[in-house]
Amino acid sequence: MPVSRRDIIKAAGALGALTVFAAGYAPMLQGIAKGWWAGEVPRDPLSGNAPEPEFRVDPATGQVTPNPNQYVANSVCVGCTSICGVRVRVDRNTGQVLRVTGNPYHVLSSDPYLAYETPIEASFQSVSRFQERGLTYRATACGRGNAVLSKLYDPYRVLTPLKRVGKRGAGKWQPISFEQLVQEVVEGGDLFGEGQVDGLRAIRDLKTPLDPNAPEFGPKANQMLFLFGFEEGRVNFAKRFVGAFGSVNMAEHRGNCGFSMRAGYAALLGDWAAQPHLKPDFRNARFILNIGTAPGNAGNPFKRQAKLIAEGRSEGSLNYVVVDPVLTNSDQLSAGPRSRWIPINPGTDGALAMGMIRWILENKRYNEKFLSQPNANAAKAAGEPSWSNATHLVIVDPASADVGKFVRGSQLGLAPEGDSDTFVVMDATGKPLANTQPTGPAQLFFSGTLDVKGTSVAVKTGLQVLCDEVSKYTLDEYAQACGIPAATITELADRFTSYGRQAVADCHGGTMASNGFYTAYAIVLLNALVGNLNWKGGSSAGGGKYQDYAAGPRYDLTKLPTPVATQDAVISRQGFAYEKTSEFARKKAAGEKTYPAPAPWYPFSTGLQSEFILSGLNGYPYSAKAMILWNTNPLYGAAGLYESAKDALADSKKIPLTISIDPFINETSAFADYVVPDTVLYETWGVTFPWGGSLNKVNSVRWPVVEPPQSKTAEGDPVGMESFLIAVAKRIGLPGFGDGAIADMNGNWLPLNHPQDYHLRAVANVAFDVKPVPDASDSDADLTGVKRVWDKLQATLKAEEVQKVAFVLARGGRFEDAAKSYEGDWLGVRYGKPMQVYDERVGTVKNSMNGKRFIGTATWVPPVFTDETPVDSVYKPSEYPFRLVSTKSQLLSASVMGVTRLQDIHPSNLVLIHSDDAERLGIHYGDQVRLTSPGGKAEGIALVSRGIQRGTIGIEHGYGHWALGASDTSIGNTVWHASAQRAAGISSNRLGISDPKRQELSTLGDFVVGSNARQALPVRVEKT
Amino acid sequence: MSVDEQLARARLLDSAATLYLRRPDSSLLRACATACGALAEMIGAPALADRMADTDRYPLSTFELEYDALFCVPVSGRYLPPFESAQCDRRLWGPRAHAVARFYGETGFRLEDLACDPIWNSHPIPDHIGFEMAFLSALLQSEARAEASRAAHLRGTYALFRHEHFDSWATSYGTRLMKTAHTPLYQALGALTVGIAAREVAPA
Repeated sequence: MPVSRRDIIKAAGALGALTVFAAGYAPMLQGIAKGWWAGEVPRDPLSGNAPEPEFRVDPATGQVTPNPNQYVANSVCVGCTSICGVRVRVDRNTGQVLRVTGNPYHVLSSDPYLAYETPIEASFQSVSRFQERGLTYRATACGRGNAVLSKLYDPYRVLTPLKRVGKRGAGKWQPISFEQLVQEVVEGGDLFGEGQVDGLRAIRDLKTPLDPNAPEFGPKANQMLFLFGFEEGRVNFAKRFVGAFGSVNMAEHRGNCGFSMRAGYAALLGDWAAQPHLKPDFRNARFILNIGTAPGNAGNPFKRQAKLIAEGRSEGSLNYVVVDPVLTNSDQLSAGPRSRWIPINPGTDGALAMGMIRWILENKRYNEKFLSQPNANAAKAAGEPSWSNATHLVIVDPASADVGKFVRGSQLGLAPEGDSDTFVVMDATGKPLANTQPTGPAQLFFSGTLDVKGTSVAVKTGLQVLCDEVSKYTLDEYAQACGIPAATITELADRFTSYGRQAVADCHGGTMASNGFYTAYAIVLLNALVGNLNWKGGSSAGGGKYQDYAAGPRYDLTKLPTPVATQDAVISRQGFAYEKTSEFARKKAAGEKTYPAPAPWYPFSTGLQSEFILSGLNGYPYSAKAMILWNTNPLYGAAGLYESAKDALADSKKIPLTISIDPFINETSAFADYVVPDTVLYETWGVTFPWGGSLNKVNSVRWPVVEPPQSKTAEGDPVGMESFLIAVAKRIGLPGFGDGAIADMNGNWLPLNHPQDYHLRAVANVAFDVKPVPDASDSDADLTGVKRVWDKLQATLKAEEVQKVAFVLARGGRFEDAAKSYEGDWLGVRYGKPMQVYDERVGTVKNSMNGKRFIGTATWVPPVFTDETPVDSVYKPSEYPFRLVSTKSQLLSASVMGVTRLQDIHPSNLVLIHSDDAERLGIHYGDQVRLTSPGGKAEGIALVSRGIQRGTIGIEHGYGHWALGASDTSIGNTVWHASAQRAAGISSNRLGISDPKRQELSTLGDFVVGSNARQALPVRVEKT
Repeated sequence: MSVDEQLARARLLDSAATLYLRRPDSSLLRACATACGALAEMIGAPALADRMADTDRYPLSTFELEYDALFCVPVSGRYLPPFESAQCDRRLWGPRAHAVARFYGETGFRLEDLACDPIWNSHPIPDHIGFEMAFLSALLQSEARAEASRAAHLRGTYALFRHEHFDSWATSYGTRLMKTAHTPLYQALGALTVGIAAREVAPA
């Protein structure tokens, strides 16, 4: 029925509050005023004002017509830690990045990937419709990789050095010159009107012991701490600086991210120094068990895993299970029964894995042929590409001084005196042999005594130790702990052992609870039980890389003209045993109680950022005088660290000099005294490599495809990490910087005065390693924009290196031919060390907080404090009935907050709660809820779902910032006003807790390796 | 059309859009109670006025459930997908949705800025009936404030959008909503949609 004018006008007057235009019509009017109908005519009737294509390819002939106004640079994305190869389109006239997509030469962005020698122009064909090649070489960037380019033009980006004004953390800064910055941080003085601050020159005291009573702490130079984010291609430069400075104290973010996973793999693979880790051969695996990681939603390399998992479940024969408290995008209804989600109680993945191991051992479903080979030769003879120490005898006699160690052949006269690499196994008759002796299998299960130098000691094989450990609990008890029915555990174990070598178990950040190490060790041990290492479709430790920052074929980038020794106890007490300290010796000599130590020591850990900062603030084992932060944000990234550290960090007497090198002022750099700008994304030099997931050698190369916008040094370099450290090093006079700094292969010493002096020579090593790469053509250099850095190549490199380095830069790295992936049923690149069913290093170390020896194989321990008191016994479920987990975002990461395109899609996160729990608490979708843990409070919006385990709260990581543009910041006379968008949502890490069993400032960490506990935190929930 | 009428019609579209795009809460129901008399009279269903005004008779959850059943939950048994593509082409994100998105893109109309339930504009599907109504409302508002030549462009866009999109499905959708809804509020919203979609405006 037509509506009358009178009725309309009458009705409209009564409609007051019913509007969707909350901000009024004005913003809409502004938006509409820009449209085509307002007189603007789009450039193209079909594509509107979208940028012109970078090239055109005739679909019939393949003729390539490049756009003369653009170049297409192959470089690296650092939007997350996957570090994929990307193709960056740049406007030649404005120098602006227009779009980012995948690099078709790069294995992390395209599978198959282009043959390395493919000319750049032909690479354009490969992503076009010509012969439908684009369907094959579909090189992609992920959602984040597509959008992150806006960080280049972020309005909150720091472009000039800043010095704090007023109190630390007050959010007020003044711009200063680069020269003033370097002068002040090196020479010190009364820098802030708060008294004398030692500069880096004074702190670099290589002679005076830090503590005369504890020589293991080294010289005072160790009071300079250097914290950085992750290996994104430039870290070797920073390591060179810290090494030349003479400090042993350098830490990356690993301890906040996935170190428990790394530690589990380090134990399995017997390498605590390099901490390699395994990834499934996604292309050929038939069953993948993901526990505490969800491929396609998290993990690393995030994008490649997602692509191969999707292909495997839809076109191949892949089945997979994701065990996670939270339902992720990895589980796909479209995949039917090929993907499955199994919810689990937070922090109990270890119970599931141990339950599976128990069933596998009891039902003899392990791979006996693999496990029983006592050495590499026997394994090879048996057709096995790897072997294990399952048959090696371990001393388990508590009365023995060697308890926890393997029996050595030398102890039984089976190997020369002093030999520590020959172990002992039992042959089929029960006779002990050197493990190197048999050409066939040895006994897998043995428990008995052995005469070791006249003393009878109890010994067991490694697998027997595991078997006994796993038998401590029944399957029902494991089921009870993890919330997964025993029948499901049995089914999983049955299934996992039904695919031969093509079944792989993987884990990652979901294991970051305070029992994370043993959890991860148990999960990854499943791979040893089926013997999948180095098999096609099994697990791979990666294909490696060409030499870059090493003693390479062209330059030795490890060498300093004057070596500086740094071999002392790290401030976070990582990599050093408490029993080796002077403190322990003193206490022991005085007859005092030696345990607990004042704080936990972690003899085989790395990257414990939270422990670095808090140790410096606590002054144990020693205090810190300076802290340099480079592109890292531990106060946001480590659970509980902000609440523990904020007051002490604001006290400038605790760590008197703090410098942040960062393009942005994040939650941690907000406490800095100085902020040094840095390059972003595609503006920088560097060489990096995938963490895993590639079966071939890969080096990903970064180079400045666009000009950084920040201020320049007098030498013409952008102010950034490298130029700042060069200037500081030269002013102090550190070896390895300035003239005569870098050794070439002929023994000549070359200068290091610019960032490219170091990085380009690493690229030269890559280009010349094994077989030198071809020379770049003029076309390659022009189409990719490498010409814009040609003068730097010529000024830095030897003449014969220029074209080859240009070849590598043009392709964004060096990538080995995929044909080398396999040798028959084995992987082409194989891990050489044995899989360790028993890790002697773990099994011989004591917990410094209670003096108990750690167990050298996998075991089930619930989340505990450092003295092994269960968390639940202190923070009782009656008071904190939920367990909090953080989940990965597909789009956001902590560092890309503020990318408008991403936040338009996903503006905020929510508090995920099971619908049964929500109903019980009267919580509806959209309700404001308050979370309270023993460490803090936070509020968010409830998302009620069945996609989460009951009794669990899930929070997507990356939101809830309180810096990084989320709070007002004064820069001179300008105020950067806070953006509500950047403060959106909730951060789970504000609910992190400290360890009540420790006296000093602390965060809860894994009781073996100290990794930050950000999972399975006790919380309660209430509707506000 | 006079400026007053134009603005009033814009308000009407805005209000209907609000009822489609906002999950019912107490403030929304209060606003409905205030406006119900005029609305009911306008849509020729004065009997609805009393029932609409009496929102206290039902708990809020009744309206929430109704909203979810009608617009959000495909398996509710009463689901009326509020999308042009779904109604006209029996699919989501069909060509019509993309065509509607082009209108929004070309005119700078941002769905993200609308005050609505996040389920609609966190991952917006552009041909939602509420978005289409809000867009028409914005065009009318803009036209009322624009100088002559720009106003003509706006009027053209308004007419084109109605012709190519809104008018092709709004009447039938409103009719189905009137029949399917259980509560007076959403029955009235159906009637209001039919009223708005009527092409001719009767003389006062």
